[in-house]
Amino acid sequence: MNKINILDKVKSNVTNFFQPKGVFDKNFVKKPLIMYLIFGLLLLAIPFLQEQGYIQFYTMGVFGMIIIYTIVALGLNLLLGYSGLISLGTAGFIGFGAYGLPFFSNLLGLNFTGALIVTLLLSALIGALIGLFSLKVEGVYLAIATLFVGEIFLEIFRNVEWFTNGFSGVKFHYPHVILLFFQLRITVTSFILLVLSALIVIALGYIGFKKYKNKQKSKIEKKENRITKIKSRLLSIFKIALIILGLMLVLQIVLGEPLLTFVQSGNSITTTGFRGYLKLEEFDRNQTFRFISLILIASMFIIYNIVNSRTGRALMAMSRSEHAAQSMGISLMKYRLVAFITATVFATLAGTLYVSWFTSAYPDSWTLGFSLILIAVVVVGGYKSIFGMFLGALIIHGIPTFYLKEAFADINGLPFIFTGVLIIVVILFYPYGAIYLRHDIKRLYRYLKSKIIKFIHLIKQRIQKSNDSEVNEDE
Amino acid sequence: MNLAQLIFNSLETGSIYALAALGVVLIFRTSKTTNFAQGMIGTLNAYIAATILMKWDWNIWAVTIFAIGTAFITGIIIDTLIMRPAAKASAVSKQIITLGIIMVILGLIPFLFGINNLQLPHFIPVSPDTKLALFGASLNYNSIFTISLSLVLMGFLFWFLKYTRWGLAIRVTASNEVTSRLMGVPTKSVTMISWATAAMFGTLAAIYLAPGGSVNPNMLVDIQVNAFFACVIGGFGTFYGPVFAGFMLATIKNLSLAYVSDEWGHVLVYILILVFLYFKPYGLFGKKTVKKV
Amino acid sequence: MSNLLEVSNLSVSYNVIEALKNVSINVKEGTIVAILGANGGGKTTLLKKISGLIKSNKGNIVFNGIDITKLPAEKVTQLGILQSPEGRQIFTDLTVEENLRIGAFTLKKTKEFSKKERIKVNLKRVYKYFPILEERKTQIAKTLSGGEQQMLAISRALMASPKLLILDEPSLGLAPLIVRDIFEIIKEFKKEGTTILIVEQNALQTLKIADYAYVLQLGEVIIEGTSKELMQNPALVEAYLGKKNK
Ligand SMILES: Nc1ncnc2c1ncn2[C@@H]1O[C@H](COP(=O)(O)OP(=O)(O)OP(=O)(O)O)[C@@H](O)[C@H]1O
Ligand SMILES: [Mg+2]
Repeated sequence: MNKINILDKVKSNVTNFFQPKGVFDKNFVKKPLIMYLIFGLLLLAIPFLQEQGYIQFYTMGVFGMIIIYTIVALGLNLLLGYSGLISLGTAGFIGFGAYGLPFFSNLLGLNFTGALIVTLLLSALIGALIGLFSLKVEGVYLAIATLFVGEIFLEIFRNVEWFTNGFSGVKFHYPHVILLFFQLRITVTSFILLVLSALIVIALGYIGFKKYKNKQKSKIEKKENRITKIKSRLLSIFKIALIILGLMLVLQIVLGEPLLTFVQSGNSITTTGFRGYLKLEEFDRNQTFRFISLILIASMFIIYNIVNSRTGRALMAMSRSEHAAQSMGISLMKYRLVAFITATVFATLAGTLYVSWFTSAYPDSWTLGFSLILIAVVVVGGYKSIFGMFLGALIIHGIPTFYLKEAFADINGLPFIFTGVLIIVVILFYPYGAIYLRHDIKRLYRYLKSKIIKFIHLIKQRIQKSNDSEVNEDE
Repeated sequence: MNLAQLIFNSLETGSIYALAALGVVLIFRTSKTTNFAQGMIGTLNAYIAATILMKWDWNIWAVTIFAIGTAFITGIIIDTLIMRPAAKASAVSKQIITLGIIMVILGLIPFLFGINNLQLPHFIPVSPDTKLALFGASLNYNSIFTISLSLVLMGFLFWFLKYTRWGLAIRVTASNEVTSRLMGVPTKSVTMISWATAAMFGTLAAIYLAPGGSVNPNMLVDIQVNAFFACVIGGFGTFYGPVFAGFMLATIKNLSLAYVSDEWGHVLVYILILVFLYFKPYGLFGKKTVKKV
Repeated sequence: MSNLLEVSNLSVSYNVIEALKNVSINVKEGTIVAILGANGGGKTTLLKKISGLIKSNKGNIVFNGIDITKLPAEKVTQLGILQSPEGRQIFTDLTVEENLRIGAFTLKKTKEFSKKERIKVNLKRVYKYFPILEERKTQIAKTLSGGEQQMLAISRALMASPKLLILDEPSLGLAPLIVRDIFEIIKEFKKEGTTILIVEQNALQTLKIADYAYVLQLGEVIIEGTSKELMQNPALVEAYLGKKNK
């Protein structure tokens, strides 16, 4: 009889393993917005890991580029995935961002934020023009019209020296922006603090979620009540911690004096207090990385909100049938404008981040080839997917540069062959993008799980039988 | 530069644009995709030509014929191995597949031919003796030859499309693939031949261009872009439209560079074309195709 | 007379929709066989399957002793099955004569005649039936009227001198007078020795020229018989063929 009990335990352990019921409730973590936050935290860990010497400086550089790719792809996806329109001029808009920011900050003497705003506004204007243009011209003609726009940019980048400094390229610096925690030099303590505060945000969200869920609870789950009680006690501790933290921050800002003193390690100086924030120091490389990571997370939020709003549904309705959508009262013009402006502004934003991250830009980077690669990021990552864009960028830019270049440094061109074959294979076998790999993985997972449970069940039955026969013999 | 010279030069560039554009429409009409890889396929075969010329010491005529042959094979391989399995993919996905092809070739080139740029000579050596003076323009024999060869090839293609049984088969496949199959047209072979032909045109364009610069991975990027431009100006609806537009585009660009501005010449032309496209969204000779709701 | 076409136990489905269930039909050489039935009965699906445009789940199709179940469309056509598809599907941007010439794509030369001569003969033949097409031969096909386009679609299939001519609703959208003409001409085709498989909504008129007929409903053959039998079945006439046609 004991044997059966042990097996029951094993079985419940297996099921628990596959369906965890801990604090990080599966459904809760699945909420996209929370996932973006967690994702952002993971990204923030990269400069930290770099400082601690776990990853190379070079690797962080590549991650910066991947983030930039992802931001472009997020905007482009609104065109390609949600509206079914193709743009071959993306590289031009990225280039416009990369040249516009230095141009407007050097020549017009604007600060970083000012130059950024001017650049983005101009880009939105051009995007709007293309949007209007797209009402008249369609299909492959529209695609090549956007290629015209890209080539116009390229011609300007190459030839108009006063704007782009021609082939010698422009130089720029890391950004300086008033932003609270980017100014903090990361030390062990401050990183832990960051993680802590993020955990609090997550926990708070969890409480809200749990409360909502409690209402729907049935009798079967009553036995879980005890666990919930313990959890809520833990959570209230979190709450108190958050309140204390918040108060400290407010006091810190109001008084302008550091109330939290960070441990100084090595030569990294802790900037704390109100005055420090206002100094507009230029970021260092790690701060810049955190800055572009933040922009990425913000972009994900924005795109998530667009596609899950009326606008997103309208865009999808239009990609299926413009005429049908129009007859349903959807204004083609409005949504074309939204789609094109978003795509161009995101591309330009990514361009400004590019020049801030690499601190220079050259005209020959912004060719049709680059636009095509960005389309590949969207297609490989998965139409209509947000995380897919990061996955796509990781696959298209990350894998070749990280792995292949180092592992096969002596074999020229292998990264290209890899990417090319990958693109073809993904489209042939995952026509909706690599993000759908997870469905296959899930299926495999479920299959294995059912096999394991069946197996245990089988053994259990056998044992029961043998037990029964034992019992019989006893009689 | 005088006007006659300008026009002659435009004719030379235009014939290359036209050849490339013809390849693009051919594939667009039969495979329903814009082939971004055409230039790269041409470049690959130009590398083959240059390598054979160097290693085996063949002359330019022999390597050109050989490269045309390998181009034919490349086209067929790409169609059967990659494009046909992707026949059901969306138009955009197919375009991205051609991007994948670009990358594979881009990776293969240093692998197969080394990282150095290669050279190809002119068909007819260019020297002061091999020139013709006409209306104050100097025309070298090589350019005259390339222009004539392109014109003859394109003329042959048009005759083929218009008057032969297989030409008709290509046109019906372009018009309505399913019904073509009902008429017994082996549309798969037609598509394959289109890829092979486009690859040959691309290769020829590369071999024309190489002596002016070098055989390098980016040698046809500009041609490819301009071929697309010619296709929208002339319209994808006909085969002759893009050819005409190819010559036109080359001429207008050269005129604008010479008489308007070095810096802004091309930009101005492109903007004008966009404006033109706004009023004629299907190109000079294009018609609106009926779209199903 | 032997069977030119034998379809046995054919099942076809589009994803979840079962468009054909266990359909068996025979077409004897030199006859006109009609397939009738309400909209959505699966008639076009059957013809598409015979021509090799779609895949089947079950059953097989034998033409002239050759199993054509798995052959692609172009191969089927090369064997001598020519279809004038539903909705005409003419090549709108080609001229009338080019449309006719592509119909003769599979025509092969014989001992007496070269391919060119055979095309010429066939052109003459269709121009005899439809003189209007000769008048319009250099015109772009898009500019033809609906009826003329239908004539073109039928003629195009005829250009290959098919062993089996398949017509999918040749009377669709035509004026009664023209319909009568077309049916007369179809009878002529038969006299010349062409076997015909015709799908029609216009039931009574079709039965008048057909030798044998099948009625398809929701993918199943519910009635079959000679035209005479079918016309004498009042219940059937009322239920499936519509009494008003009388
Ligand atoms: N491509 C397709 N995808 C899904 N379902 C289809 C497809 N084509 C036809 N069907 C369905 O299969 C069934 C049979 O269609 P089919 O076209 O064969 O009918 P039909 O007898 O020719 O009708 P009609 O007289 O209206 O032409 C219909 O229910 C139709 O909706
Ligand atoms: Mg039908």
